[in-house]
Amino acid sequence: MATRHLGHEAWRDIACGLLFSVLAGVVGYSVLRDTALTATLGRGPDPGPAFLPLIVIGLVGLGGAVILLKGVVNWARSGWLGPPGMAMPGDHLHALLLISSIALLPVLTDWLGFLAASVLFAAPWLAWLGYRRGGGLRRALGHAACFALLIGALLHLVFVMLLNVPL
Amino acid sequence: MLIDTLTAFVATLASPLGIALALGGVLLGIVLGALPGVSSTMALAILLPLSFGMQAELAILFLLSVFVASVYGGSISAILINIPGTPGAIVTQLDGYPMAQAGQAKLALSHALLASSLGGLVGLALLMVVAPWMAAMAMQFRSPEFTAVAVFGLVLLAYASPGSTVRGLLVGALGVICGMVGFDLMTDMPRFTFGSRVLQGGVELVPLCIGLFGLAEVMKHIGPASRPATRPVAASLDAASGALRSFVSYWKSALRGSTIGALIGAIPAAGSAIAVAIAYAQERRLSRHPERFGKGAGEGVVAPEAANSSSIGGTLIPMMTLGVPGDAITAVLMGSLLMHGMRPGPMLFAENPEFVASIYAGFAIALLLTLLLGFLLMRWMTWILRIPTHLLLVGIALLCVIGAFSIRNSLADVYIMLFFGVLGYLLYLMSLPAAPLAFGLILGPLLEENLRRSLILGRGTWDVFLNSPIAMLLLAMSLMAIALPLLLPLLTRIRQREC
Repeated sequence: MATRHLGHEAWRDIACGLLFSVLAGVVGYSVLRDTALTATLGRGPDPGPAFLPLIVIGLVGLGGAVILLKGVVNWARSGWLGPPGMAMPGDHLHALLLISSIALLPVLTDWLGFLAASVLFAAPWLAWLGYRRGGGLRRALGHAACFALLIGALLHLVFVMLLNVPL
Repeated sequence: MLIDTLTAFVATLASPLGIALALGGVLLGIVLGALPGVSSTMALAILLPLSFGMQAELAILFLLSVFVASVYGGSISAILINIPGTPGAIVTQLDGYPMAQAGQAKLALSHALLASSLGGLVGLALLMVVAPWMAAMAMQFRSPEFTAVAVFGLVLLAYASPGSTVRGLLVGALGVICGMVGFDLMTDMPRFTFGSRVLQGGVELVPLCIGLFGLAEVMKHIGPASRPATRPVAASLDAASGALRSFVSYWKSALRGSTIGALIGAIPAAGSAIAVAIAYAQERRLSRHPERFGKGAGEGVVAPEAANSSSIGGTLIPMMTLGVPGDAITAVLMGSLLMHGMRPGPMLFAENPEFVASIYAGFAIALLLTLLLGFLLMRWMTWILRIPTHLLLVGIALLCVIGAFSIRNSLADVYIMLFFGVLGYLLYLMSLPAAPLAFGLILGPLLEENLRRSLILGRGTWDVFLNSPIAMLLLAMSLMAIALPLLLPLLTRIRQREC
């Protein structure tokens, strides 16, 4: 049990370490590649616009590497246990679908206008979630249509008509 | 002078439009605060875009109304269904729910509301007394001191975030980098733009907050919302007779809780969750009947609720006087002030004393309306808890998109918001705190600008910091805050070996 816990912690540390290291790598590369930025270093009393970014990125990279190392050491101590099975994969799938549908929303708005796009976004989600929560398919569809229209109309009224947001 | 300004602002804010906005804010705050899963931070982040078109004074009135009311709203679900609506209400459920189970739900809600109002007043009083004095002191600060304040704020905010301090600091450092995206203030050179014109304008605080505290929360809850509903049944509301008289008998608990909350709230990053825990523990320690705690003791509701509400005034002190957000909620509030061209810090008191007065007046109006509306709506509180979660989540997701777009009427902000929503979700999966990212974005530019100015003043040497006792003290405290969590386990291990 304790070994499995150690293995889970190790995988989380490895993921954390990788996140920090990769971000530090990408950002660090962007600074070092920019010769105009790096040329400002060590010129006069102003340390220049590359000074603090390099310090901060260095710290993030170092912290990420230490966490990654800790993860690998704990992984070895756990007997090289495989990655834990993803907890609640359905939850992550819902989150991924939500992000994808939101990313599509501006395209839909461009094409159909905000009111129709928001109804088109909200109705399938409301129908699916309502059905999954045990409301019955026909009831879920009916509620979804009504509430999607209500939410879309309310947002249109507040943002487009009252606040003049050019949606 | 202050009284005259305050009177003038009460007149402005008490206009029909002001009252309507405050009432709307209080209503939304109570409803959103009462719903489990919607924290005060999320409520404020998603409602922030509604305030963009408002006059700055009215915007702050609306947002303070949401803030104050959501803090009370959090206690409703804690008392009625044993699930705190906001983290600050986590202790209220210990005695509030047993009271509701014993048929005293309305009495517990009345105690929470009255304690919340009294606590809010104490917090406001502290804010009005301490903030001008602290701002006057901060006026003496120069670049080295401000550099140290930014470092201290970042370290303290990461220290108080859940999980390890070092990981909180690393997330904060990512926030500092986000704050550097765009043109450098001193040389106009572009940084971290990756050739994109969108990023040349920098990362605004508001889309970051909407993504991090709004969209990421929706992503967390959308999966669980797809499972069959198993919401607990709310306790029924009885008739509460003599609620005021009963509350008066707890006046000492209310005052103690309020004082603790206001003082702890004023420490950057300490936040309401720590304040309520200390207020509850203190009350239990002082009680003649500590065995009643956890079984429906009135003091167990009054003291933490007073502390929770009074911490609002406290958290506003570092934000208004130093430009350091007291917690995640004030970070969002700071985003609104920046949107309206108000830069929190000591200069706010010198350049915009009228606006400072409008914050005090708005706070007082929000407290008064929360008290009134809280009592008027009390019989319908169980209805609020019946709003289906999935309906709310879909609505909030749409609100996040429109909110981000309406900042500059630009799709770029929508995609920035989406990026931070995904990043917030990833941080949650890795058990990393998300709030330091926002703190880093706020404090990063303050840190860089003042650090570079200090070095220019010192002609490239670091002696300027050694010559400033305040800066040295703050930097030493920051170092201690980082070293302590690393050294404590080591010392404990050495001591155990010696034993």
